[in-house]
Amino acid sequence: MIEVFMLGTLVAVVKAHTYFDVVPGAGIWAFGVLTLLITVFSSLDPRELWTITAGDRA
Amino acid sequence: MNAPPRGRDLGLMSCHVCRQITAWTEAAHAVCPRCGSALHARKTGSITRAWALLIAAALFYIPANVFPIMRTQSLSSRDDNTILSGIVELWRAGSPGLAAIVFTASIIVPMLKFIILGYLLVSVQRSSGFVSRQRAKLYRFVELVGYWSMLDVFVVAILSALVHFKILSRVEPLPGVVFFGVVVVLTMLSAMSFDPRLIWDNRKTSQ
Repeated sequence: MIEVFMLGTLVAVVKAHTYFDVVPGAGIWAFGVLTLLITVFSSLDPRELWTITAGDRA
Repeated sequence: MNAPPRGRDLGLMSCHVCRQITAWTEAAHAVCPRCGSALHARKTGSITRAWALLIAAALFYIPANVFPIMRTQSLSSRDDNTILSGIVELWRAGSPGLAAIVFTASIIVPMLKFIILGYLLVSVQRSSGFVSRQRAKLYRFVELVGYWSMLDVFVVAILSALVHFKILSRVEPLPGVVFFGVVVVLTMLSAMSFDPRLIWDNRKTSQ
């Protein structure tokens, strides 16, 4: 969902630009990296965890 | 009939959550031996639920498009925009590319979801064996693109939070966006309640 939010921000900035100036700050880079990281994270397969921990039953 | 066997034919089924393979059971309260979540041979009431949610979504889709979703207020003017007029405005404001993306996410994707889910449900109810593999792909496609429709909801949320300069200029959300959000959530729930495995059940003809 984060990538949709990112795109939503972009559209919002463009729309707001018709009314006043919008200048990107440093945070936009951090948010960009965060988007990337979360996308990578959420594409991990949780089933892998069952394979890795197959031996240690609690 | 040279289709590969289904889990049911082999007496096997898998857990929805962790995909552990277990023996086939139709017991109501079976749980997965590995992760403890409930086991279902097929999603319960899949077709009924998917239809109900889809029809509800289609009904909400009308006010979502008719009512304005966002009000832009400044000293000199007051603009109420519907989904479509917002796209037209974005196109005119000089970003046709973004307007095309918003058009795809807000108009084309929900329409595709109605058509595809409707078709999948009808074909499953008629136990059709027609292009089963393509229908399975269609289902995966619907699941994949489903949440992109939230784009417009996010835009309205961000703008209303961002643009708040008292009387100078202001952006306010209008009821249309709530209806639209409900449409997106309902179509996603409908896609979730549909069990794609039904495509392979009770086929009259092979392939």
